[in-house]
Amino acid sequence: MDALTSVLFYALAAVALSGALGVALLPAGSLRALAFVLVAVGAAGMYAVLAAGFAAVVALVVLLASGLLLAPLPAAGPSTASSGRAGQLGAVACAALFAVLAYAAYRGGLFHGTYAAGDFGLFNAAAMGRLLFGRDALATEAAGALLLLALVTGGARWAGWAVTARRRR
Amino acid sequence: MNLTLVGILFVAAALVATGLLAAAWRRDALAALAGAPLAAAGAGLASVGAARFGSTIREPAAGQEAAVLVMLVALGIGLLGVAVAGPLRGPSVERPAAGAPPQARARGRRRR
Repeated sequence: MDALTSVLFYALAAVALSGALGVALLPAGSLRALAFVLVAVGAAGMYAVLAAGFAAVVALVVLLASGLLLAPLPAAGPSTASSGRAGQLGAVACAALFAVLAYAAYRGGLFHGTYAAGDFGLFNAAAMGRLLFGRDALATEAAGALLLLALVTGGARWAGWAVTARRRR
Repeated sequence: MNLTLVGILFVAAALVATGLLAAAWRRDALAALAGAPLAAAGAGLASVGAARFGSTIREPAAGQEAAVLVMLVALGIGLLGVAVAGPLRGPSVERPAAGAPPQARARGRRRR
């Protein structure tokens, strides 16, 4: 990879990581939704730089939908941010996990190879379709069943909530 | 500066750790769900990077496939969590400020 691609990847990584920190630490609202957008743009850009166009589109859709779902939720209590000792212990554990993963990546003795992205194109929908609906069709069906179950449950719960709210009026 | 698999795995590890931080830092279980898509994005990035730089892999698109499946599962978890716990909360009700005048406080109450 040339230097320009590398610089572009690390710039997108900085965008994604800053957005991820915003998602983790900012309160619910428009700022958190903006952080989700930053994560979506950064992650999709990194996938695209790595010649994974299909995964980039899926990541963009999934992260933006997650932002729409989870960012504007009202708080259950006065504040959703953790201020107790458990939250601090969790943050230390996450830092330790990052240190372990980074050490494993650095000292792992990984084989450094390359492949030409032009072998099967940037978007390579045909290869993805062969894998998703041919070789690993069961995994695709399981993911589709999970999404269908979530959508049906969400629709039923929201419909019940709307009926209850109308009766209260 | 060259992009290597180690650099990609560093970024992926940071994304996964930040996702777990989002899940651990929030007191509210529903707000903690926001960590799932972040960790999934990191895991997908690691698999895409391994497929991008691992020339001995038999199917080069398998990393992308793993990333797509992980992201779809994260979306399903988020949808299911919001579906189960979201309507229990109801809509957000704007509470009047503590020092607000009585008219403003009365406006914030529910009409019966």
